[in-house]
This record gives sequence, C-alpha cells and structure tokens, in this order.
Amino acid sequence: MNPHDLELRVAKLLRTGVILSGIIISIGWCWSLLTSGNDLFRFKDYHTVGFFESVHTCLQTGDYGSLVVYLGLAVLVMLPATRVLLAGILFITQKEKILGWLGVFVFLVLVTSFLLGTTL
Amino acid sequence: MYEIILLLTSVGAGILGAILGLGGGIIIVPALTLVYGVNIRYAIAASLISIVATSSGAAASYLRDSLTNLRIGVLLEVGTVTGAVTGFLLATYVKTQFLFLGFGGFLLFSAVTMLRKRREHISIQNHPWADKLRLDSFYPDGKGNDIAYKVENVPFALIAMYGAGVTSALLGIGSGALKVIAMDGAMKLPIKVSSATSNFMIGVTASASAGAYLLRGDVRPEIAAPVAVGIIIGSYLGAKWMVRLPAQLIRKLFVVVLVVISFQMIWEGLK
Repeated sequence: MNPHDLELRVAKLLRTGVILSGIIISIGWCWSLLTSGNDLFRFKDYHTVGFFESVHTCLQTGDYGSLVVYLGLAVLVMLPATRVLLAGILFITQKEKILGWLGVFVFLVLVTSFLLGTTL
Repeated sequence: MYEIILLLTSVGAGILGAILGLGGGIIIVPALTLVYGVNIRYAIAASLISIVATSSGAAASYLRDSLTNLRIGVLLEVGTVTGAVTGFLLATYVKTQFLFLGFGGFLLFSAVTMLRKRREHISIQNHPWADKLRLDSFYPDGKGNDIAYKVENVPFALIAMYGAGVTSALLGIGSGALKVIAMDGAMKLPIKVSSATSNFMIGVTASASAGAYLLRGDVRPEIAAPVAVGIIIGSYLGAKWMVRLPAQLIRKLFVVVLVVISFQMIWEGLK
C-alpha cells in the first residue's frame, strides 16, 4: 500500500467513526431527555463517580439513554487510539520500523492514560 | 430547555471553531462555567470530548488533501501524549481557582496569537533526525504544483509538544496554538502543513486525557452529549460556510470577545 492509500484509509476511518459516534450519542441523549430529563445545574459541585459505577447505576435505574451516550463517547475516544495503532502497524509493514514502533508506543501511552482514569 | 440551549451554544462554538481554525475548547469551557455554572472539572472533560470529535473530522479532510505530514504527526504525538498523561495527573492536584487562572491566561495568549501574522517558511536543510525518519515531504500549493520542504529543530519541537500536551489535559483545550508555533517557528514547516498536522495531532492529544477523564467519571453524559453533538454539527456547517463568511472580520471581533472572557475567567479564579 502506498502512503497516500494509507492516508485515505485513515481519513475514512476517522470520518466514519465521528459520524457513527455522533449518531449513537444523539440517540442516547434524546432517549435520556425523553425518559429522565436532565438538570445541568446539579453539576455545580464536583464529586467523582467512576465510569463503571455510573454504568452500573444506569443499569439498575433503567437509564438506558445514558448508557447509549456512554457507548458513543467510548467509540469517539477510541477513534484516535485506533488511528494511531493502525498507522503504527502500517508503518511497520512498510519496513519503517522506527516510526512504526513510535506509533505503537503512542498507542500504549494512550491505553495507559485511559487506565490511569480508573485508578485516580 | 437548558440542554437545548447548550446544544445550540455548541453548534455556534463548532461553527466559530471551523471558521477561525480553533478547537471548540476555548469557547465551550467558559460557556459551561460562566453561563451554565457547571464545575470547571466537568467542563474541561466535556470540552476534551468535543475536541476529539472536531479534530478527527477535520483531520480526515486534511489527510485527503495531502497537507498532513503523517510521519511528523506520529513522531510529535510521542511528546503530546506523554504531556497529556502528565497534565491529567497534575489536574488531580491543581485547585479549581488555578484552573480558572490558567484558562484565563491561555485565552489572553490565544488572543495575541490570533493577531500575530504567520510568516511562510520553506526550510532547505533537514535536522539529522528528519533525515533519519524521512520527515521532509511535499505539499500541493493549490495551483497544481508540489512544493518540497525540509524539517528543522526536531528535538525542540518534541519538547514543545510535551508542553502542549500538559496544557491540553490541564485546561481542556486542543493546544493547537502552541503546536502551530512549534511547527512554524522551530521546525520551519509551511503554514498549511503545520496547521493540518497540528489538527491531526490535537485529537490524539485530547483523547489521551479525555479517555482518562471518561473512566474517572468526569465526563457526564448530560453535559458531554449536547456539547459533542453540537460541535460535530457546528464544525460541519462551519466548514461549509467558511468561504461565504467574512472570516477576517469574525476573527477581529472574536479577539475582543476572547479578551473579555479571559478577564472574566481570571476574575473567577481570584474570587
């Protein structure tokens, strides 16, 4: 695959991913608004409730709209990581080892960063 | 009702962002905190989500136009993502008032950089790392010609990218202004290439901390959903209307707005 093909493939992945996540988030948000309603003003004070705990609460209370929003957000956040990994692997297959491994390194730092969110 | 107004605000932020070449972060964070009274930590997390959305969408267009230097992007992302991890760790310990002060200061800096005229560079000499990684390339000038360029001062740019990553995670912004300065000023990349490559990297930088904030629970679906959807719609409309709108006039007006908001944010931090 030549470099331009690689760029086109990455571009397609990004565009499709943004549209897909936008649709998922929209569906979840509308669902959530219709069933439970929101109140932005309750977010004046900061208190942490972890992602998995929030998902658990949504399941228990039947707030499926927020669950769908979380799914869309997860897809969106994973897009750049997937793009980095894809670029890294494609560089390696083109015998561009340094750039390839740098891409893989960036991907691993991203995953580490995500995991830090569960521990801090 | 407020959710719909927030959605419309985010559409506006997306349109402005696309026209002025900014991420929506510098509009979304002040809007959420000063207008809706949302805690700045939730605002920063929601803003980072919106930056991932706009940058990924814009990056796709730039890649198709062959303006993005993918090799430089992958190399400099090493600096930005490690910086973003540091910024996320720091943010846990930084007091809210300092976040307001930092944000206000960054808005003033952005206003100044928006007034600055960018000078076109074409470097003729590669840094040894640029030779080794074959970072030099060509870009289309829009008249059917390919212009060759070289790449200077790679180590300095990597350090600057680390700083940009820290700032992005701490304040919930794309740090595009910092990235462009490093690529224009230090690496001597052509303006179009540095803008496109910066936009390409912003999404990765923002996703490093956005993912961490999401798992920590700072990304609230009630805030992030209207912001993300609004920004996606707004940036799409902005890109379409860009040619028809008076970008220079909007830019000058926006600088004034930025200065006013920056003082409001600083005031909020001093209270």
